[in-house]
Amino acid sequence: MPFESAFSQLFTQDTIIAWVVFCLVVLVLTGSMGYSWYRGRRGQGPLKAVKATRLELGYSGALVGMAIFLVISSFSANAKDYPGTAPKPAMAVAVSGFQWCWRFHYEGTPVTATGQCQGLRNLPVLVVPVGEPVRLDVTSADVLHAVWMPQWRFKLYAYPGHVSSATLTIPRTGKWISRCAQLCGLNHYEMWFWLEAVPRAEFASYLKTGRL
Amino acid sequence: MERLLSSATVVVLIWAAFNSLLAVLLAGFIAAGFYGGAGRASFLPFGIYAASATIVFLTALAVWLGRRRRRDALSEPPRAASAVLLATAVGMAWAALAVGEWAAYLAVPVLVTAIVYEFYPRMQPE
Amino acid sequence: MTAPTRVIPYPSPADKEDRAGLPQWLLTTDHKRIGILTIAAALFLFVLNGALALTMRAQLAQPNQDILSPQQYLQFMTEHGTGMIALTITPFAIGLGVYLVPLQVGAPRIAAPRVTLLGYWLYVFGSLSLIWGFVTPRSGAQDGWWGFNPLSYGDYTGGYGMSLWIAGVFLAACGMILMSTTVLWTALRMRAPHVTLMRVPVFTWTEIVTTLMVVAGFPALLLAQLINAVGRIDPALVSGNGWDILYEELFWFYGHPVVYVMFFPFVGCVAESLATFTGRRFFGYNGTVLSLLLFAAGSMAVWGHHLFASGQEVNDYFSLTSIMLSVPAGIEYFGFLGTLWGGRFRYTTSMLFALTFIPQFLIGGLTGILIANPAIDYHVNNSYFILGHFHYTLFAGSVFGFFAGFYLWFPKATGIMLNERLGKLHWLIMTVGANVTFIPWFILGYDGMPRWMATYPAGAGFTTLSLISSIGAGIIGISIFVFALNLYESARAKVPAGPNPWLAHTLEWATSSPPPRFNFNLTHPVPRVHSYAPLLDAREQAPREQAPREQAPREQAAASGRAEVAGRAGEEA
Repeated sequence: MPFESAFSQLFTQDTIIAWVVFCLVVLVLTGSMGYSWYRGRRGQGPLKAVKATRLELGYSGALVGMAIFLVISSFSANAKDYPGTAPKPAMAVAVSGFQWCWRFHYEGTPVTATGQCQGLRNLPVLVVPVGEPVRLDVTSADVLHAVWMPQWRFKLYAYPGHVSSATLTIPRTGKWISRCAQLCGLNHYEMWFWLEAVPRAEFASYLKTGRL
Repeated sequence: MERLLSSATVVVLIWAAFNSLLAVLLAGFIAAGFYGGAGRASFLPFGIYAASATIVFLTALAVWLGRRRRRDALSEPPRAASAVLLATAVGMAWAALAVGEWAAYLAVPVLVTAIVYEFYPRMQPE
Repeated sequence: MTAPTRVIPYPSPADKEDRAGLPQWLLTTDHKRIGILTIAAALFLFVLNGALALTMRAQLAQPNQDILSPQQYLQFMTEHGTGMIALTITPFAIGLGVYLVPLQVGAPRIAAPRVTLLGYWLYVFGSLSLIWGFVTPRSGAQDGWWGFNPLSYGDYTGGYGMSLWIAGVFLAACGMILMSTTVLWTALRMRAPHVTLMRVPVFTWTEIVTTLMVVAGFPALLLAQLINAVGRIDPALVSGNGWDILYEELFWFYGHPVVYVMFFPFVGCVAESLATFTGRRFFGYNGTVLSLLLFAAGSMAVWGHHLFASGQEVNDYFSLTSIMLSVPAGIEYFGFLGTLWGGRFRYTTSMLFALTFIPQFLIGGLTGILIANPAIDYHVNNSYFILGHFHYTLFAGSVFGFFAGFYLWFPKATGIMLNERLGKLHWLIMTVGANVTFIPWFILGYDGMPRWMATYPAGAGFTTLSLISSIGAGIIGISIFVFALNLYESARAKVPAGPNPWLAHTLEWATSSPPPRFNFNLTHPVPRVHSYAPLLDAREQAPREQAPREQAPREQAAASGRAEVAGRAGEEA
C-alpha cells in the first residue's frame, strides 16, 4: 500500500531528525544556563559580543543542506503515492460523501452500498478485493467532505461537482474504520464507514449479490 | 549588506523581489506539471500570488514617494471623532448582511456626518 | 561629558498632558493609548475564547457527554478559532507594534494616528459582530474559523449568525490592515535621525516584516469574505467547484501569513527579553534581519500545504517552500542561542517565558516540517496531530512570547511593576498546563482522531488521552487566574518603575515610564544611536566617560542645556 509505506518510511526518518534537532537545541539552552552559572561563580559579567560570520555562514549552509535533503525525501514519497501512471485498477468505486453518510457505487456494476451513520450504527461498508489496485473516484453530493482511512494513511477531499481519484492496494484482509475528515456540518463526527478487504472470490460474489 | 538594507524603499523592493521569484517558481511548477498529488491545479494560485506581489511593489512605490518629510496635513486638526463615526458607518453597513437592508440605509447619515465633521473645519477660512 | 542629545520637535504645543477620562481614551490619537486599548480588548477576548476552549475540553473529557450539543460544540469551536486568531493573537501582535514601534525608532508619534484609531474601532466593531453572532440563539456561526463554502452559504447554514461572522471577520481584518500600514510607515519613514534601519531593535524588524505580510496577504481574506457574503444572499451566483477552490485558495493565501503575523512579533518579544536578561546584545542581528525578510516572503509562498489532500493543488511546490522555511527559522534559533551563550542570566518572569518559548515553539515548528510532507499530511491532516502542531506554535509558542513581552514592557507602559512571585507562578502553571494539554494530541491524531468531533464513542481509543488533555486545559485556566490576580495585586501595590528597571538596551527605555505624550522631551531626549542596542552601548562606554547611567532629572535637565534642537527631522534617501 504505497500511502502506508511512504508514510512509515518518511515519518520515521523525519521524526528521528526532529528529535535530534530538538535535543541539540535543549542541550545548548541548558548548557548556556549552566555556563551563566559558571560565569557567575567566576564573578564574570556577560560575554561581550563577537563577530562570528564564519559560524553564521556555516550553520546557514548546514540548514540549507538539511532542507534540500528533506525536500528530496518529500518529492520521492509524493511520487510513490501518486505515480505518473497509476496502476490499472481491478475495480473503480465512486465514493460519494453527503450530509451525513457515504455512498459507494461499484462502477460498471449495479451494486451501491450506503447507510445512515447516525449513532454510529448502520455504517456503510466499502468492500475491496485484497491485494488488487482499486481506484476511488471521490466526490460530494453537497458540501466539502474528506475520506480518511487512518490505518492506511490515506486521505482525499470530496468536492461537489468535482471528482478526485486515487488508487489504493490493500495488502491483507481485514476491516478498518474510516472517518470523514473535513467539517461538513452538525453530524460530521458520526460520518464514519468501514473499509473491508476480502479475497477475490468473496469480492466477486459480493458484486453479484450485493452482500458478503 | 548594511548599506543596502538601510534604505526603506530598497527593503520593500527586496521583499517584493523575493515574493516575485517565489511566484515565478510556482508558475514554473504548474507549467511543467510537477504536482506530486492527486490532481492538477490551474494557474489560479499563481494569479493570486502575482496580485499580492504587485501590492508589495505598489507599497515600495508609496514608500519611495514618501521619502521627503512633509507636514502631515491629514492629522490636523486632530478630530478623532470622524474616525470613530466612519468605523460606525462601515460596521452598520456590514451588519445589513445579517439584519437586513435597513441597517445599511441607517449607515448613510452616519457616514455623511463623519465626512462633514472631517472636512467642515478645513473649509473654514484659516 | 555626555554625548550631544537631540530633541524631536512636534508642531503642536509641546508636552500638553494627555487628559484622563473615557472619551479622551476612546477618541485618542496617542499611539500608546491605542496600543493599550488594543491589547486590553484582546486580553479580554483571550479570556473569553479561552473559556470556550475549557468548555470544549470539558465536553471531550469523557465519551458521549452532553455538556455541549453537536451544534453548540461547533459554535464554540468556530468562535474559539476565529476569536483567538482574528480577535486576540493578531491584535496582540499588531497592538504591540502600535505601542512600541514609534518609541523604539525615536518617533514622537505614529504615522496617521487617526487611521490607527479607525483601525482600532473597526477591530472593536468586528469583535462585537462576531460575539453577537455567537450568542445568537440556535444560529451562531458553526462552520469553523475558515468558513469554507458551500457549507457557509445560506442554503446550508441558515440563520444570521454566519452573516455576522462574515461581517466580523471582514471588519476586524480591515482594522488590522489599517493599523499595520501605520506601524509600517512609522518604522520605514519616521525614525529619528541616526536611527537607520539597521539600527532599529529586533522587535521593530519583526513588526516590519509582520506588517508587510498583512499588507500583502490580508486583502485576500477580504475577497474571500465577499464571496461568502454573496453566498449568504444568493448561493447560485457563487456555486461550483471553481468557486470552492477560489475561496480556499484566497482564504489560505491569508490563512498562512496570518499565522506568521501571529509569530514574528513574539519572536521579537523573546529576542528583546533574552538580550535584556542575559545582558548581551542580540546575536547575529544582520543574519536575523535577512532571515526575517526571507522567512516572511517564504510565509507568503506556502499556503497550498493546507490543500495537500484536496487533489487540486501543486503539492510538490508547496512542500518545497514549506520545508525551506526551516532555513530562516533555524537562523533565528541560532540567534536566540547565540545571545544566550555567555550571558549572565536574570531569571525574571519575562525571561522564563522567553526561555520556555524556545523548546516549545520548536515542537510546533518541527511537527510543522513533518506535515510539510504531503505523504505524512495525507494521514494527519485535519486530525488532532494538526491541532497539536498549531497549538504548540500558537499557544506554547506565541502566547508565551506574548507574556515574555507583556512582563517586560508592562512597567514601561504603566509606570508600575508587576509582581514577580505571582508572575513566576503564572509561568510555572501555564507551562505545565500547556504541555499536558497538547502533547496527547499528537498521539490522538496519529491514532485517527479527526478534528471537529463534538464527542466520540467509548471504544475508539480516544478516552484516556482526551481526559489527560482536558485536565491540562484546567491547569491552563488556573494559570490565567493567577495572571489576573497578578494584575490586580500589582495595581493595588503600585510599586513604581523607573525609566529602565530592567537595564534594557533599546530606545523606549530611555524615556520615562510611562512615556510623555510625545514619547521624548527635554527631560528624556532621544540619545545618540549607533547600533540596535543604544543603551547597552552607552553603558559599555561608561567607564571611559563620565557615567551616563540612569540620570536623576536634575542632571538630565543640565545635560539637555547642551541639547541641539533639530529644526526638522531631516530627509532620507
